[in-house]
Amino acid sequence: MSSFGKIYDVAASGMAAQRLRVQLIAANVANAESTRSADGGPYRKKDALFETALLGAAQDGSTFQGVRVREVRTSQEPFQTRYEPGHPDADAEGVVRYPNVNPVLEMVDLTEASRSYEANVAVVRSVRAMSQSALDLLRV
Amino acid sequence: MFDILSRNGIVTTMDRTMALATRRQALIASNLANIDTPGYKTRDFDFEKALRAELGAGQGQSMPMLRTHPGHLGGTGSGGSAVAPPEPPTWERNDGNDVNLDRQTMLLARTQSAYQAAASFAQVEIRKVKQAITEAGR
Repeated sequence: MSSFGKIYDVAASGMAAQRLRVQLIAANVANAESTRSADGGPYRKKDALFETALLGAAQDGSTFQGVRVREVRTSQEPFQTRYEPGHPDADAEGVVRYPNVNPVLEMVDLTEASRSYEANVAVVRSVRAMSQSALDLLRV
Repeated sequence: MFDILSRNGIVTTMDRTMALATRRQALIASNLANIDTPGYKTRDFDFEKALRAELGAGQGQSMPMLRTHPGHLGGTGSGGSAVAPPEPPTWERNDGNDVNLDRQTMLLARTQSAYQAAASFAQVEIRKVKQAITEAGR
């Protein structure tokens, strides 16, 4: 049973990582037009970097490798610029800097994150069915 | 007296099958959790081969198929049930990760089926033992 518990942990780590990724995508899309942010300039796109996390080892030496977010990276790509002289954040030439967020790319990323999340949910479902059939052995 | 089930060939075979299926399911869970981890490589093992090795290692507890006719299957060996070792990935993404979502999802379902089939066989066998015990008491 502890082995099943570890598999749940692995799947949960995957779900948590993908959920954080969706949160960042939501922030990116919501701030796609934000010309001001806490650190002064326009909003910068944020992105999650994943890495493998060792969640334990079984007696037979095999390891349970989950995933965790190594860092939330702030994109250093150049901002988009638009000519809007009346805008309060326009510079002397009337150019406004907009966030370096591409909504189309964010949507593609969102779909991928959502599929990966579902894959982890499928693991949870499968392991639950397996532990149920193991418990059924007690009900002979 | 209490090793009535632990010395039962079917029950021990199914027990090992279930243990191996659980181990494989852990690897599949790792693969799916790391489907977007840069540089991660798919982990797997040859289920059939590992099972055969496990059962062969048991002290005379494995159950070779009895051949009473030349047309019978030989069990291990020429049985035709051998599965090729895990196939190499057919594609790789530019982040160095080679997990194939479709293949891993298929393996997830297949391993679950193997586990549940083994559990059902063990259940039938345990039920037979129980029946033998209760019927003797009548």
